[in-house]
Amino acid sequence: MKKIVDVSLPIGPVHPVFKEPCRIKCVTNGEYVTSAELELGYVKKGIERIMVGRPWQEVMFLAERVCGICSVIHNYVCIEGMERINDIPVPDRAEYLRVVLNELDRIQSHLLANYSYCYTIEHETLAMYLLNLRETAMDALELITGARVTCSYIIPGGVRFDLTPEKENTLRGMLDHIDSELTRFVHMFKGGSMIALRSKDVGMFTREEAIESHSVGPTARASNLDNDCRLFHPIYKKLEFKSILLDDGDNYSRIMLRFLEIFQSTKLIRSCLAQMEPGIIRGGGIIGEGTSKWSGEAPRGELTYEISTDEFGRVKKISIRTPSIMNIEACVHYMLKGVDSAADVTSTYISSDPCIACNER
Amino acid sequence: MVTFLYENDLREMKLIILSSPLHEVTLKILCEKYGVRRQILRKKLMDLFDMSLLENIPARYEVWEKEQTETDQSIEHAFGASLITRQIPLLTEDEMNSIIQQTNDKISAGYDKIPAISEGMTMIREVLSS
Repeated sequence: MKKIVDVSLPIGPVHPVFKEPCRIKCVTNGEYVTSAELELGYVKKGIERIMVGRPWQEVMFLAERVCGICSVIHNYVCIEGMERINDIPVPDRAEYLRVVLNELDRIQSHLLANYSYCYTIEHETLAMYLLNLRETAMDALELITGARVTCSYIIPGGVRFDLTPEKENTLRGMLDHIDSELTRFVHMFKGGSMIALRSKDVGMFTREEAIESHSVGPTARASNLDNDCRLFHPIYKKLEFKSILLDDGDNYSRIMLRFLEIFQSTKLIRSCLAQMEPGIIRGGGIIGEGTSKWSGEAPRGELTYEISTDEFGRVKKISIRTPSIMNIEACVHYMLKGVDSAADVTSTYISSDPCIACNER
Repeated sequence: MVTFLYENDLREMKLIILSSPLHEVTLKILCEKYGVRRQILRKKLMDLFDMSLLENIPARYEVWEKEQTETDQSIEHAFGASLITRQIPLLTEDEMNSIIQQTNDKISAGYDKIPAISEGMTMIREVLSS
């Protein structure tokens, strides 16, 4: 006779599907997960404390190093927050270039997240296709900024480099390539019966749970909770940005939403390129004394910087709230509860696009 | 009873999480609201919560704060019942319901509302300090 017993199932800190170390402790009844806990602390950086007392010229570089996957948005939000302390104006062209870079960063981050998911559910072919396509986005980042990860492109009062007409044409070609290839891959994802079996109705996350845990980004939007910071950003308003929402709140809809957002990002970049007028890209400006709180939409959701500086622009106090803090908590306490196979624990966890580097800032 | 092999002592890491600037602000508000000392609240949080929930305390508090309306005069609102049972689950639903029930009984027995709420707060404080 089959006997079901309570089992403690620790996963990690080192696991083939985890990009970064963490330990999930599941309590299971058979394979049915009744509750889960998360253990962090393997890669704590203490970056907020490192920033205190340093001038803004150093802090803007440190901010990028909070996360290696979404470094651009940390740079973007940190600088925009600092600009608000002294009302530093930003030229229009630079504003559009910032959006171009941010959306390219979103594309590569979403592709990496979806690669990880496909790899976790053992669809390695599609995973490798996605990882290969991510290289196009990384090349586009390198084309504009000269670097792939820590670009340091955004500075107070503008951006570092302009986009020449030749580079603009190359970028358009890259966007076309991303769109055409991704259409094919999304078709593969939608048509894969095994993918649907592993993803649909797994890791359910309702809208109410998303509100309760303050879930953000694609994880919340896949549960029909619209809290996209781009809706309130002045330049995105000019681009008539509208967020994409899905209803199901399962693994499948979280992955599908990221695919849809990649198409949206390529569209936004094209709109920027069309609307961008020639002009200066940096107006200059230095940071003085003051306090500001500013949020931006990272690939994983709302990223908030609360900065307080002294008269020389040295950081007196800084707090960073990254989206993974909310999303990982939501995943561990809501999505994993009720998963009925041990194999689905890792895939559900990866579907929330967890970033331990952000969480352990 | 489920036990894990290779358990780490997480107190030090949990304390680092609770020492972040955002946590300091949230904990200060909670301590003032319920009249408990910060170290006692920290200990309670570290005993009850896992690290992901500890990290998410400021965001969860923000959600509760947004839900509140100034016109709400209920006892649940005065106790912040949903805050300490749902958003930051320091008390179980049963414990909270029992305190609310006792407070309601006192008010219906002719007790003034303000001292009754104050006594309810003392009961919450006792649970938090236990």
